[in-house]
Amino acid sequence: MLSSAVFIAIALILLVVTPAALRAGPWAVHHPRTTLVLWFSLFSLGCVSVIGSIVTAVIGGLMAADAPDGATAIALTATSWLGLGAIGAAVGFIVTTSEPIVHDFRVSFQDVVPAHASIEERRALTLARITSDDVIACSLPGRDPAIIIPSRLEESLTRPQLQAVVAHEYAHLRSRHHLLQRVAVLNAACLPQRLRAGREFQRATTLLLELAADDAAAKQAGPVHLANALAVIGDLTGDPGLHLRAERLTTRRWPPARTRRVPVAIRI
Amino acid sequence: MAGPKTRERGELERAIMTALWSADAPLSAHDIQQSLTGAAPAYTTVLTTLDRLEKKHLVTRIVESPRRVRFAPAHSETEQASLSMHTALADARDRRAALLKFTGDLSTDDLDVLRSALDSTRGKRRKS
Repeated sequence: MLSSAVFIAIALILLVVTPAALRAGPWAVHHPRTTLVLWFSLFSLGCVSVIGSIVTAVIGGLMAADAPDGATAIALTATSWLGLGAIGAAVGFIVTTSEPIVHDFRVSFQDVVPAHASIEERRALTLARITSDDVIACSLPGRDPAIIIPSRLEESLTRPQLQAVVAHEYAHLRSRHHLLQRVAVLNAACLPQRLRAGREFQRATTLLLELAADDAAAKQAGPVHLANALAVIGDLTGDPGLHLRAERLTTRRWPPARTRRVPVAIRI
Repeated sequence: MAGPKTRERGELERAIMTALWSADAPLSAHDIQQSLTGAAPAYTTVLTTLDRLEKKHLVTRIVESPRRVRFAPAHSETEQASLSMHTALADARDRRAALLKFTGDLSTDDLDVLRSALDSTRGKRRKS
């Protein structure tokens, strides 16, 4: 019973307290990938601790017959049943909560890309160029991943800048950032609304995923091209965040240009 | 027993839209069914798909009489091309959730975090 309580305490610390304590600060902004790995490792450990606490409670219940006295046997059995009840309640709650979230994330290629878009089938992804006044490139994860490039964006950027933008979107797809985003959204939905931890975790995850994709794209297509692309789009959209992201790229050292290599799948 | 599935989900919608765009006048469901190439879908399937397209505001239903209903595209092909992306990104919350956009939609708090990180880096540089 004690070990079960210890597991629950660890789980609470890891799932609720840690995200609040490890808020996205200067270090995280300069090391987004490492921060994400650290956060999600602790989060996974928290989930394992929840399972551990329930398994320990159930094992305790099965061993109730060997208890030294009746009161201990009853306590062990009650804890075991409570553990099983908690599993059922948790599974039910998560399934109910996750259903609308999973639905929200379900979007098909046809929903976004018009019938006459210029579609280029590449290895492991589709590059879709659409006629649009938008200046936002975006990636569509899933079984048929795609990167969508609006015509105005293509006209506004130079070829190396556009390459950097595509590399950014490719980094989202390759690193399966949508899955991490879903976990953060689900976590925020499952935690009580009063707790800021879930919302903070979700918000910081979005920021760090963008910065991690920026870093990956800068290494492949060049930090200068990506920073210039961010600045151009920032001017067009009036989004100050893009200028800040461009400036961040200038604050760190990057591998020499000769080591850059744009993956074949996204070369334009 | 249901027959073999001949089209991917969404493919029929695209085919119907293409048929409506290439026609000079509104078409009936029967006309649309006849104009589709490849394995012809059932008449009811065409009606269901048209109903779905109408709910998406892509198709307009023109009721001339209870037995004479025609369908026309709500926007021209060119208009739809420019609307598609905008609608997909701006209209529905679910689309925003599904797509990972280049802008990332950072909040004011995120901007503050970025600013403070950049300020601290500038401060360190000045000292060194």
